[in-house]
Amino acid sequence: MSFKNGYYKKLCDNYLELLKPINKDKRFCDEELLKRDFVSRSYYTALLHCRDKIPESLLENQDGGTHQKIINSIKNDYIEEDLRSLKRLRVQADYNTNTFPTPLKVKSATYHLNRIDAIIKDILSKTKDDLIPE
Amino acid sequence: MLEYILPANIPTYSTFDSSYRIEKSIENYTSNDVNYLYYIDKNEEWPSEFNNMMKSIKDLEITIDNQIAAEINTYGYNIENIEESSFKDFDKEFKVYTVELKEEIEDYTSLLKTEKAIKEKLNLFSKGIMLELV
Repeated sequence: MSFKNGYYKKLCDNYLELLKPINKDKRFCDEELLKRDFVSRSYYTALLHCRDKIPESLLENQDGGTHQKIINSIKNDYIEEDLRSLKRLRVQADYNTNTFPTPLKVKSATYHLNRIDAIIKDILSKTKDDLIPE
Repeated sequence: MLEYILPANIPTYSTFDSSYRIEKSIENYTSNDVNYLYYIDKNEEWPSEFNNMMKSIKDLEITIDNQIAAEINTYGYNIENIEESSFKDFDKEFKVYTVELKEEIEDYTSLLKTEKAIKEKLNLFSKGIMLELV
């Protein structure tokens, strides 16, 4: 399977499986690392799939860097919000080294991670027309 | 709700400079009434109703919190805690309500649908407000 077919989705699925309480004794590394990487890779998986559905000509006309161009091209409020939400969490997961980011400090982190997983599935199920309707 | 229509920093006497737009007549204010702006020139007398307007704005801020809570309750979820935060993504500012539910919800698809239904009903995203049920 080429990287483009799923990006980090399979990795995220594996992380989620490893983070399930039933697998507690089988973890191969620190749980915080898994959670942080799950949040980060989740965002990129969603972002890259969205990018694939946006015509290059539309992206070229947007200001800013790649992330901003993709998010600003999306005309679907829900997906735009999901992406911004994932992006916010990704910044916390990757850069907020002093304190636990939101997905890790809520009552049940697994709960939050599953929510993120559901958002990705929702984004992946969208067509080009769902993202950038005429 | 109000971050969308008001400047990020509510003006004070010290920051008040030139004309500054604030919401016209809070009594007539509705959440969709974003285009009615009231301009105050620095040479004008400071409107005496300003403090009342600010108080009403604060009341409205509480209202959106209560609205979200009321909507969540109608879906049968019990709220443990509501955490409010804000962040800036590129050129947009967002307020995030992270609502922690008492029960663990295993059906994430259903949870996301509920989230989206509430967002749609309260038109949250267009007001710069994000909602997360966790």
